[in-house]
Amino acid sequence: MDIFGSLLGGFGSLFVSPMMIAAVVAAVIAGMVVGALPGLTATMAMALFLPFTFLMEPDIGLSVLMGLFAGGIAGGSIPAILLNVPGTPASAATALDGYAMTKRGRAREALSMAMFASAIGGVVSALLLSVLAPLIARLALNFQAPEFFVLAIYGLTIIAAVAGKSLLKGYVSGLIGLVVGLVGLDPISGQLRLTFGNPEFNGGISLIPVLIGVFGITQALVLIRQSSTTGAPPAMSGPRWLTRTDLKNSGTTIARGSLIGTAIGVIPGTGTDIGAFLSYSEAKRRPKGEIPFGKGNPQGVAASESANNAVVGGAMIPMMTLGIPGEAGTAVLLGGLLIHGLTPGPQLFTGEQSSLVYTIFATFILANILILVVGLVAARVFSYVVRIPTHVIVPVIITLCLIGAYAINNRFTDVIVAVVFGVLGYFMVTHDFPVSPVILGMILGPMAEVNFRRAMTITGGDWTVFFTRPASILFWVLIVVSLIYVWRSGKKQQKGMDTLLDEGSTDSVRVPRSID
Amino acid sequence: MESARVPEENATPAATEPVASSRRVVPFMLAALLLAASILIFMQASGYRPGTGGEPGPAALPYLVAGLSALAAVALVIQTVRGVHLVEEDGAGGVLPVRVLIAMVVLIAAAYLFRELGFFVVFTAVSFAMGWLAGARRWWTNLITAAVVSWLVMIVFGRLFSVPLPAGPIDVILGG
Repeated sequence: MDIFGSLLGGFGSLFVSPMMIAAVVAAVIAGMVVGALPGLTATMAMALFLPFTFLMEPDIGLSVLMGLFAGGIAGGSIPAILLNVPGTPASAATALDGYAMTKRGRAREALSMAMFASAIGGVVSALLLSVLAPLIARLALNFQAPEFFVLAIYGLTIIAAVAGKSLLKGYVSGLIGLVVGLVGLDPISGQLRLTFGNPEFNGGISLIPVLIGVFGITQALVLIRQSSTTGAPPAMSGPRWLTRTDLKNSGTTIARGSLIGTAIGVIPGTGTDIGAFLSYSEAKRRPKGEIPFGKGNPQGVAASESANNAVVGGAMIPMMTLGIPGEAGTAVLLGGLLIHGLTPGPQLFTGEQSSLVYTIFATFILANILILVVGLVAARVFSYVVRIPTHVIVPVIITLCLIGAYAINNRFTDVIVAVVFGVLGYFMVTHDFPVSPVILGMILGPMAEVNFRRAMTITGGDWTVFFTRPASILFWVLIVVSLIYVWRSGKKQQKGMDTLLDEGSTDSVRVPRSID
Repeated sequence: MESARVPEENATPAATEPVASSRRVVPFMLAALLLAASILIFMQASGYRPGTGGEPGPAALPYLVAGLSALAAVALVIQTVRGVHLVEEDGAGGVLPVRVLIAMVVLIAAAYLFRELGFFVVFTAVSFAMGWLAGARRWWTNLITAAVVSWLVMIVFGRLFSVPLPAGPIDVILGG
């Protein structure tokens, strides 16, 4: 009961602040615009705007990030439906039936279905987040240094393992993050490590410039490499509103997609694309309507879009309650919490800052409702957005990246760090090295070290403490089970996604190289 | 009559085809980076003070990371030499087209010259260069757009958000 009271309090804080509502509306629109641009992801939008949220009040800044996250994922469906080019990897499954609907002259219906399903998926996951996160946080309040050490190891192991096509490449990326996380003052003994006499690095390499580099500058360089495609805006045909039959047929699909997406999001190392494809596969097994899947069935759009937006809420559960970001978007969100002085973990749900947490939850629900409103009202405008040429987008991204990296601490070193990681990220992305583990290594490495050394100090060097406490044992078992599962299912899952992309549509879906 | 060759079950397409050397350069570079990092970390960590009261000390994690990095570097070299998990070439110019190389040089130069030349000149030059490299056709519209956007950003961040942007002579004239 107190959870719902707190959530109502969150809505109260939201609706008494016109500034915050305006910020969420603007963020959802900006997120949808970025998501609608092929190759640009919600993660990149958040990384670009992250430094500017520092200039805002914490509640407004974090609301902006939530709006960008939700809007960015939903916006990815627009080019998937209109051009057969998913704006984000999360919308690759949407293109299978969405583009087929466009070819049948039902583009506006497909967009309406995408926005409707995104909104429902997002709201369901936000409600589950609001209910489950405080319960998990209450449980996690009993955790001590040994449990948090094993949790960090769990995050590092699983995330690097599932982040890329190659296990080794994932671990190489994670190790780069761990090395970067070592730089600076040791938090326990005060020893300076790997600063090479440069006082600028005494406080360590900041997370934000690295985020900007690997998600922003890298993407701009990738866009420069790819050829720009411009042309006439795609035709927006068909009725705007969904038929009663389509709505009735897709109800179960959307509900199932919302639950699948949330459940997938909770598992560290998964992502919006996996959630969308799993939901699509499930819907395909239980087809409704006369049109087959892959030929323009609205349920295909509903399944994919409800799940990918639901993943966002699910992924926020481990990030906010345990400080374990499960994928790139929540890692950026974690950066947003940190720059406002909030440390993710069970303590976030206690004390004065707990009201801010519920305001964030309320904002996330509002953002998902706004997706539907903005998507329905401005569908025609977005058909022009998808055609913005690269030579306009790239200078804007680079300008925001450089000024953002500088503005966070007014340090020139941060600009250099962003550029260096942008260049490194380009080489990594173009050779299938995932960049997310770099960030996760930077975050989870120090967390693992601090808790390991704390536990060793408390127990006088007794190593068995990591294997004797019940929660620690549970997490070790989870690590082993997850690794075996990931190892065995990795190839099967990739094969399944490839098969869906090959068989699902008469036109092959062109997934642009994007960074997550 | 030629018999059909059955590829090995676990072989990737890259493993069964001749491998272009440019696809191997980056994995080798990253392996060298990790190996260099592990050697540096090992050398530095040996000078750190020891931990007290059962605590492993500030050198423990660096040693572990150095060891894992060295192992990963060796594994990456082996994987690359065997041609497993190499990226497919997808586009003209290979991995590093000239325009991406120029973009990198411009960005690195901008990061270092930002303080010396001031915000407006550096950001106008960077925006212009990026627009051109990304395919802008008319140089003069690209230049004007770059200058106007840089000026607007300078005013918004310098005045509205009070970010202390480095000011050259032109910035002062333009109100930065």
